[in-house]
Amino acid sequence: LLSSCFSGYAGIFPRILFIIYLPGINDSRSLLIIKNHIIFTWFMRGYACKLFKIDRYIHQLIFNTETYNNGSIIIFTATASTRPKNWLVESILVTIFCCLPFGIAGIVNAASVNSKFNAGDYAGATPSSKQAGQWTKIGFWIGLAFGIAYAVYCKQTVIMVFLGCQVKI
Amino acid sequence: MLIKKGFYFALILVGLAVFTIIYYRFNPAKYSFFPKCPFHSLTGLDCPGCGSQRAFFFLLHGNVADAMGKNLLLVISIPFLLVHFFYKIKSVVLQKDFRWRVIYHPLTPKIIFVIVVLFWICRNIPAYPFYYLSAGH
Repeated sequence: LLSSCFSGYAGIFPRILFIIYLPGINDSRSLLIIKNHIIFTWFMRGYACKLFKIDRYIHQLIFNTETYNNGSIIIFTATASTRPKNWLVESILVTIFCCLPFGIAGIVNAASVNSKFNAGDYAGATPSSKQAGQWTKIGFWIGLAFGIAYAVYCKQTVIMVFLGCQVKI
Repeated sequence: MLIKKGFYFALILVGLAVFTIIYYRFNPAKYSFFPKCPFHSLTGLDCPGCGSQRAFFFLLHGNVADAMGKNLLLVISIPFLLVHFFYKIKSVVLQKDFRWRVIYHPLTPKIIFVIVVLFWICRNIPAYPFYYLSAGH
């Protein structure tokens, strides 16, 4: 048994998980049975992630078989993609502290990121994540600018308060 | 990348410290220089974030009951935010990406959206039980 263990960061590109050498098995029928056995026992999706210490999401497993005179080889290749950031917590913070509808737009986009990624739409989840980030950042900067502008507008009070005068309105 | 992340982390910590000192020292209900909610100023209705500055002031002084009276959503969200930021700090310290799985469940943002919208509607109903959700009472 040859095995090269897969660990660490998984990109979007495929990587070889491990290679199994089966001596003395030449016919395609028994090879297929062994391959399917390995798929159904080991590679139920979540279990493979745990087995190879991948905290990312495996969305494609490829099984290549090669047969020689004295045996055959099964090569397992996985394509894993990182889950895009969904900006949920940031948009909740914007909703609570900036009191603008941008935070709610961020929450809606976070919902679409999660549901798209779980449905397997990896290409569609990334733009949703970008959009959620955009809404959240717009909300944050507008909220911060509004707060600073208001403090500048009341600058006399601010200066007097920070100098220690008891100005209460 | 990691240096950039650490820089942002330090910047956020400094900003948080400054805001904490300001909101601990000055009561937003008594000083005029705290920004007012533009939605509330324009329409007279409460938005989901109205009262959060006063609630934050009460929370810093350990007065949870009054904070819940000002903005219930803020007080409810704090335990969840703490769990999330625990994971964030862990991933910055150990330099590995840890994420809280609940945040990435497809149902979580939908439930939060429903809660926020319900809270927004309920706190503007001027009737007996919903009156206590509003920021102004």
